[in-house]
Formats: sequence, structure tokens, C-alpha cells
Amino acid sequence: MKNLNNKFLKIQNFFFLLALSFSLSASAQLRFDDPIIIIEPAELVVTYSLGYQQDSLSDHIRYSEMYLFLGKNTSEFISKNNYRCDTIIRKIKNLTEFQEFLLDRNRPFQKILYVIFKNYPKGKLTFIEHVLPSTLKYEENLDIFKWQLSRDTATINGYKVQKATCNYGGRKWIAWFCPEIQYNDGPYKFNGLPGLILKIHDTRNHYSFEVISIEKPWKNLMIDMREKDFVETTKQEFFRAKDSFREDIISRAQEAGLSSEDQQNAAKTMAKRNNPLELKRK
Amino acid sequence: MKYQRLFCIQRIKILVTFIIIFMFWQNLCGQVTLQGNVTNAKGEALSNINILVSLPGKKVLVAFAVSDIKGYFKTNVNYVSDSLDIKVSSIQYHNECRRISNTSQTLQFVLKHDVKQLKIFTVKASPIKQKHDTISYLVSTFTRKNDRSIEDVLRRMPGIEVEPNGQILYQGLPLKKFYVEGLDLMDGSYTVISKNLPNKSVSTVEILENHQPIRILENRVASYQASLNLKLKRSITATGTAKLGSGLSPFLWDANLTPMIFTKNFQVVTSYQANNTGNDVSQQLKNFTINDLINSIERPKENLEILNIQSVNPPQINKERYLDNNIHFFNFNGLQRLNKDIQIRTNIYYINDYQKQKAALKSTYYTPTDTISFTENLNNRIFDNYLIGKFSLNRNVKKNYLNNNLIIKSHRDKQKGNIFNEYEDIYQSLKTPLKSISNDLSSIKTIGKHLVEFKSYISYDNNNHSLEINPGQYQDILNNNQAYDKVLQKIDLNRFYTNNSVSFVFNWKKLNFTPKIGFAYRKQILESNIYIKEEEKASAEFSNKLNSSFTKAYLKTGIEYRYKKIKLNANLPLSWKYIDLSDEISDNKQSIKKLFLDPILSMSYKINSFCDLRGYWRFSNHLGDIDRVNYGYILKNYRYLNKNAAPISETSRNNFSIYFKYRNPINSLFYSFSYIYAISNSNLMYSSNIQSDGRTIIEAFHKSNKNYINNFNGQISKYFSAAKTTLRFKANFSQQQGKSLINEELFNTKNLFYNLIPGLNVRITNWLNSEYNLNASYIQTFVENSKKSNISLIRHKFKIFAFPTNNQLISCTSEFYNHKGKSNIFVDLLYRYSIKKQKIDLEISWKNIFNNETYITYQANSFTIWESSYILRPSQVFLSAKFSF
Repeated sequence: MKNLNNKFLKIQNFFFLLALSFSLSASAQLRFDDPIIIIEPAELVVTYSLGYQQDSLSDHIRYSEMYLFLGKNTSEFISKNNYRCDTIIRKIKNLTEFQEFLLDRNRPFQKILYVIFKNYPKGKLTFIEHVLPSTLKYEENLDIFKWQLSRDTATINGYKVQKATCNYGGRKWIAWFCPEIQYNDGPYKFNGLPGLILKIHDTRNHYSFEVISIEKPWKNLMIDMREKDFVETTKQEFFRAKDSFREDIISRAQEAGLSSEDQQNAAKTMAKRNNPLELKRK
Repeated sequence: MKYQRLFCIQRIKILVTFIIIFMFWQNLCGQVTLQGNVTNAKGEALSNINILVSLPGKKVLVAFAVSDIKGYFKTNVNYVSDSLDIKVSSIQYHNECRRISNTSQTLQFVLKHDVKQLKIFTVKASPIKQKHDTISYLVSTFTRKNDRSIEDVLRRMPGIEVEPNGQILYQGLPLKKFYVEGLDLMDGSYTVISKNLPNKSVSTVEILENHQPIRILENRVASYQASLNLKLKRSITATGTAKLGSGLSPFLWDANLTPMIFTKNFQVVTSYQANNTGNDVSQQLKNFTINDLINSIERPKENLEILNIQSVNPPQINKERYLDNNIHFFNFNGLQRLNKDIQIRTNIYYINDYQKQKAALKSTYYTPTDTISFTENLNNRIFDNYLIGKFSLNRNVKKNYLNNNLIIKSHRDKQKGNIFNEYEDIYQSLKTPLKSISNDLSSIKTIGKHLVEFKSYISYDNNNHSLEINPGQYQDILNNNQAYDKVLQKIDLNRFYTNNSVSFVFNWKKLNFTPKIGFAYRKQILESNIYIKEEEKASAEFSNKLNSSFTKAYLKTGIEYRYKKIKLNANLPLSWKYIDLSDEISDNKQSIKKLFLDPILSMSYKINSFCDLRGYWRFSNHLGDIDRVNYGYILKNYRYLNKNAAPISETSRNNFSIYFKYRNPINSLFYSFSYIYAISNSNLMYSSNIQSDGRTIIEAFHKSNKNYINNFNGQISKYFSAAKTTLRFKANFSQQQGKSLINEELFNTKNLFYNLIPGLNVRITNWLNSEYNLNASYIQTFVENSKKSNISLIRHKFKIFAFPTNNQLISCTSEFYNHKGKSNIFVDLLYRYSIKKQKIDLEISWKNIFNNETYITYQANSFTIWESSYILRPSQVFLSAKFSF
């Protein structure tokens, strides 16, 4: 029986190898040589520490370091790990190297995947985030923050800052900005105060950004955008895709070939990610 | 606009009462509107300019504005004061200050260009020592009362995170290496250490940022990840973990003990695992990397299956459902540092397993004129008993990297089987001892600016197998038609194999070459004899003494080309193969020399951001496996007598495939289709001579024949957010066509497989998920275009799982199918409870609740259908606890 079975097994092997070649080329879908659009040189690098509570039921706070690259007219907000990972991908020269990178069990992965470009295009911000299996992109007006100025002042690392508040995304935000640093920018989408926001948090302290350092940029640091095959969409549609992914995680994990235990773990993890920065998405 | 109109009204002094009142009220409250424009000297509007308003001489802002794209700004001031300070500030322009009266007014600012220096600051680092790329944390300062393992403390160190599965992240990235005193004992599976090593035995935790563990790659290949090193307090630390479980029925046990010892230059993790619950712990020895898979295709097959006892392919269900085992697994991992650059690692595995297998197998063979069908009841016992030693030497210096693995294996495996068919009871006894030694060397060096990788693999093995069958089989051929007591088939196979290669990476302009040059050689001697009585050989026709060799030289190159949305990839492996065979007994000889070019071409085209189209073509040539040639007969199995005296088979194969996919994450609609077409052309055919009791004589003939495969695969899924439900449908259709030669009849065969799987997932609440699948499959076999068999099987699967609290998990899996009027239902239940503080996991499971006995599966090839019913493990309840010591 084994003999006769051999033929059958060979066919199975063939299908397996074929499937393998497909899956490799499927992962090559994440391209490493996307064209890059250079927007302008960065003039200042601001690093924020972001503390966030993913699960509204647990007070566990996760931390992540975020970069704000400030240029003359525009800015880019990206997580440090996302930036590092991107730097590696840009150094990759050929497909073999890229496949090795993708197959590397220890390859970096990032928790915060979004990148925000402000005043690009003019008067708007561009929000980009990878929601498996695509990269989504939407634009939003810059002047959406109705800041209330307070007379409270404080000092953050030797800088005089003043308080301002606003409502955004279903949360009330308290910001401390520094008029001495004349960039009317800040972390995440926040902008429109007459000076750089050095600290901002919501009143429940689920999300807080605090400046760690302000530095001169390293050599050749550009504000630039990897021109992927973006799915251009609206903010509402973006959140629809994101919510669907979170809710539908079991069947997506199934499709990706994850084991039943891994599917359950993914569902458990996703159930804990119930506290996004923007609760209201109007 | 509204205000401007108000100003107008003011100027023409139309004294309407409510306006006066309004103005008066505005003055009382101090509500003043400041608006205006900012431009540069050329009169161009300037946006994003800050307009800061403060009370005279004060720094605190009372109002502000930021100019828009048109350079326009507007703000309201609400303070009682005679005058206001207004400051215009920005990065690129000169700051301007004015003192203005506290009245509504329009202001005009013309700004001059300016370059400013900003003072740079960095927040002082936390009280953690940092020296070059190394950060040290003192464990004692982060320890709390309830901490047990180092993982509990790591969790609290800034920058370090521990995932639920134990993976450790630094700055959000997984660790590159996990060292204890600079030694990497576990190679990735470090959770065994981090979860068990007591925090009290560690003095400091070091984070090595941007760590490149292969030193020759330092300054060449940038590393973005950090590694972690634990420094121990004492010179010797011992610890471990245990899992114990027990259940019914019959009496079940599961034990896992993992003690560990760490010193500065020598570290050991050992484990002893034993169970009879159907958990095949020997799977831990299997390697799964892609490289291992590619290598294993080239190397001589490790599990030589020339001789076998009749068995059934296991069903495609969870192994724990049917595996009746009794396994003892001992595992030793030791790591010794010889000096700063050289390490020796020793892994020793010992496995002793006794498996019982009960099944019924119904085989049906179809020919145009005949249908042969027979049933066998099998009762097999498998005794696995083997020892594997792996010794690795690793030298890691700036100028080169060297890793050498020496593997020694010794197997003393046995299998015994009883067969009850319609005619007789047959006893089979198979011994498959193996001795093997292999060495795998890889080294990276630099030649000029380029990195060059050398690889060398050498192996030798000896297989001295025997198969004894009572009563003696094939009496007509082997014993002049006289019944006899037993037949013994012996084989002795000695094999030598080596494969050596050099590879490097070239970049030339926009094209990329990655050539690899190599050489492989294999030499083997096969001796085989059939004995009908003690020391009495059957005639020379049933003996082999075959010398064979296989030589291959190869050059692999790949080229890649990309234009906008189209990507082309070409691989052009060139190989020269030489096979030489000679049999001393029959005095048969043959040799073949050929040069092959096996091109692979693939193309992908991105239609838009949702759709993708891919195509693939491959033409390949295969020379037959030298293992499959034997000029004399070999009794492979109690009912297979095989001879292959034909020339080495030559097969050429054309594969085409096309793949389309659509993925839209916004409306959660995903679908894909693929189509595969393959033709293979072989110069060899196997003829089966099947007797009514299933005994078969297989011989190979020189006859060219073609085989065609068509495969269509489609799937679609859509998530409905309102119903929290995913609907899914998968379909697979495949057809295989060829020629078969049975009992001297040559005929066309065709097989059709259909598989339809509709299903849905429903997320009932955040913590409760359910899944339902229907799996319908059909197998049809055609001989000379007449349908010989039609099998259909429909299975229903239902799964539900819940995690009501963080430390509880409940899952229920059930499967239902109806076959020939008999219905089968399987239900498994599992409940897990974790006691966090004590770090104990308790688990209770009840498997096969309805005590189902058999599971039926089907397999088919061109002219055969196998229906096998496998005896499953009985209903069992199992309770287990996992803890550390």
C-alpha cells in the first residue's frame, strides 16, 4: 500500500511546495522598494513618551516612544519602532534579503502602526495605518481642535508652558504648550496651539504624551512617505475596517492558518484592546 | 463677516437700540475681537503663524490665534485692561510685538525672514546605568514581595514588556537573544528559563542594545534588536518546573519534570516527559524551518520505508483522539563555554514509546473488467527506542563565523502486527535498526568586500532491516506451491552522502544576482535476501547486491526585475546529474548522464489596491530515486513483492498556475481563486499484479506515459458587523488523469475530488465565540470513463469557546457525521483555571464524551480507494496541574 501511496504523496508534496511558493510571493506583497516621496528636511526631532491603557478594565499602562519630526511647513508623527523598522526595510536590497527578514521569527513588530503627516496636503493631515491586509489612508482637516485657553502655567524641563483644553474623539484633553517653541504642532493629530505641545493627556489618563527630548535631527533625516498601494478612504471607513478586524479576529486568524489555540489567544488579546484613543469618530 | 457688517453699521451711525445695548454689553464684558492678516514683504499670505495675546508686561497668554492658509487670523479677548500686548511668532520669520488698545480691531502684520536657534534639551535619563550600548538594571530595586521568577521582575523594568505567551520585548521589539551569563542555552525557547529562574538568584539584568550576535556581521548588518543577559548572584543556581496530571479510563498519567542548572561556564536544562494520554512529545524533535525542509528534499530519506508492516494512514484529526501511546522522553541540553569565542553545545534525546494501533482497512482496486475488494483487520504494536546525540561547536570571532553540528543516531525500533483477513491470520514482525552519523558545517567569511557562505554536509548510515511473516507468503513463487512456516526478508543498506556549496550576493546596477555553486555525491550499497527456512535463501531472483552512485553539480541563479506594478522573477537552476548502478547478482548495469535546466518564471501584477493577479510557470526534470531500483524481488510487505529492473525513471513536469485575489478590509470582503494545471511525462510505468486476496507483485516497465492534474480552488468570506458574524465558503475541485497497468491491462484512470466547506463564525459577546462548519467531500473514480465508485461524506463541526474572566477558559468542540446509516458524534470539553499568585494552572478535560469508537477516512489514488476505520481512544477525564519548584 505504501508503494501505491507514493504517487499520491508525491502529488501532495507538489501541492505543498506550490502553496509554499505562493505564500512566499504573498508575503513579498509587503514590498520593500516602494517609491519614497520626500516632503522636506526635518529641522527638529521631538520624542514623546506615550503611556496608554489598552484595556479599559485593567489599569495596566503600556509605554511607547514616539517621534515628531518637525519641518518648515509639515510634520511627521511616527512610533520609534515603526521608524526603526522602516529604516531596516529601506536598507534591504533584494527579495531574498526581504524574505529572510519576513521569515525572521524575531523580526520587529510594532504596536503603534499609524503615521500622521500634518499640513500635508496644505491645511489637512494625512493619517496612514496598516489594517491587515491593506494600508489605509485618510485625510482630515487640521483646524478641528477648539482649544480653550486657561491661565494656568507650569514649567516642563525648563520651558514655561501654559494650559489649554479641548474635546476630541469623545475625550477631554488637557494640553501644556510652550510658546517659546513656535511650532504650532504636537503629538498625534493635536495642533493649533501657538507653541509646541509638550504634554497632553485625557482627563481619565488613558492616553498621555509627554516630551522626553528635543534634538537636532540626525544626518539626512527627511520627512518622507513610502508610497505604498494605499487604499484611500475616509475616517469613518477607516474605523469601520479597524473595528471589523478586531471583531472578526478569529476568522482572520483562521484564514492566516493559525492554530486553534493561537486563534483563541488572538481573540483574548483583541478583546483587551477595547479602549482606542478616539472613542467617537465623527 | 458678521462683525464687519457691524462695524459698518457703527460707522454710518444708525442708532438702533438693540445694537447699542449689544455694544454696551460687549464693552462691559471686555469682549474684544482681534483679527487681521499676516503676509511677507511680497504680500504673500503666511499660514501657521502664532498670534499671542497677553496683558501688558505679563507672560501668561489671554488669547491666541494661528493664521490660516489665507494668512487670516481672528481671536476674542475677554479681559478688562486698557491695552494688550500682541506678539506674532513663528519659526521662519522675525517675531514682532505690538502694544494695542483693548478694542476690537483689524491688524496687519508684514513679517521678515529669520532663522532662529532653538535651545536643545534632553530629559535626564532614569536612574539606570548606561554604558555604551549596555543598560544595567539592579534586580533588587525592582523586586516586590510576591515575585517568584525573573519574569515577574522583568515586567516592571522600564522599557521591558512581557507578553502573555512569555515573549519578552524591549522598547516594543522582541529580543534577539536571551543569555544567562552570556550563554544562549535555549535558542529562542527562553521562556523555560524566564518563567522558572527565581528572581532571587539574579543580580543584574543587562540590555545589550543593537546587538549583533554574529560578530563577522558587526558593522555590516545593522541590528535593530536588543539582547538580554542575566547575571547570576551565586556561581551555581538550580531550579525547575513540573506538570502532573492523572485521569481515567484506563488509568492515565502525564508527567513533565524540567530541572535546570546554571553556572558561569556551564549550563544545563534537562527534561523528563512521560504520558499515556496520546500526547506525542517526540514531536518536539521535529524541525520546521524552511531551510530544513529544502535540505531534506536533497538528502537521503531519513525514514527508510523499504520494508513495512501493513498499516493505515492516520486520520486527519487531532492525534490525541486516537494515539494509544506510552512514551518516555528524556532530553538533555548542555552548554559549555571553552573560552571567550568558542562554545560547545550538547543535546541528547532518548525516546522509548510503545504504541498500539487498531484499525480496519478496506481496499478496493478497479480495472475495466474487474473490481477487487478485500478487508483487513489490523492490530499493530510499535516499539520505538532511540537515542540521538547532537554536538555543536560554535566559533564566533570578528574574522569568521563557524558552526559545526555533529549528529549521531542509534535506533532499535520494532513493529509487530497481526492481520485477520477473510483467508488467514498473519503475523508480521519488523525490525528497523539504524546507525547514522552526520556532520553539518557552515561558515561565513569575507572575500574582498563580499560575504561568502560555505556549507558542507556529510552523512553515513547503516540500515539492517528484517521483516518476518508467518505463515510464509507467495508459496507459489517462493516455495514450489507448498505451504511453509515463515518467510524472512532481510536488507542491508549502507549510504554515504555529501553536499557542499558556496554562495554569495552580487548587486550589479538594478539587477540582483544571488548565485550558489555546489556539488553533491551519494554512494550506496543495497544487499537483500529472502529466506524461506533458517539460513536457506530463495533463488537468486530474490536477491540484490546493488552498488549505486549519484553525482550532481549545480549552479543556481536568480534574477529579479520590476517595472511599476509588474514584477518578474526568474530562477534558472542548472544541474548536471550522473547516476551509475550495477548489480553483482544479476549482473545488470546502467548509467545515465544529463544536463538539466529547470526554469521557474513568476509574474505578479497589482491591478489596484484591492486586487492582485499572479502567474507562475515551472518546467522541471527529475531523475528517479536510486532507492527505487532493485533488479531482484524484495518482499516489502506481506502482500507486496516488488521488482524494478527498468531504467532509472526520467520525468519532466510542466506546472502552470494562476491566482487572483481581492481583499477589501473596509467592507470586510475577501475572495480568491486559483487554478493549477500540471502535466508530467514519465518514461516508466509501474505494473501491479493484484490477486484476489490482495497480494500484489509490482514491476516497473519502460513505457512513456502522461499524467494531468487540474485543480481549482476558490474561497470567499464576508464579515457582517451588525450581526457580528463572518460567513465563509470554500470550494476545491481537482481532477487527476493518467494511465494504469494492472493485471496486464493498460487503461485510463480519472479521479475527481470535490470539497465544499461553508461555515460561519459568530462573536456572541466579547468573551464568547462560536464557530460552525460543514464539510462535504466527494470522491469519484473513473476507469475508462465509466464511474466505478462514488463516495460522499458530510461532516458538521461546532466549536464554542469562552473566557469569562482573565484566568478562566472554557471550550467545547463537537463533530458530527453520518456514514452508512451509522452516526458518530464527538464532543470534547475543557476548563482551565489559573491561580495567578501561586502560578498554578489547573485544567480539567473530558474528551470523547459519547465514547465513540471509530473514525472513518477515505483515500484514493488513480485506481484504488482505501476506506479505513481507526479505533479511537475511549472517553476519558483528565485533571492536571502545572507549577514551578
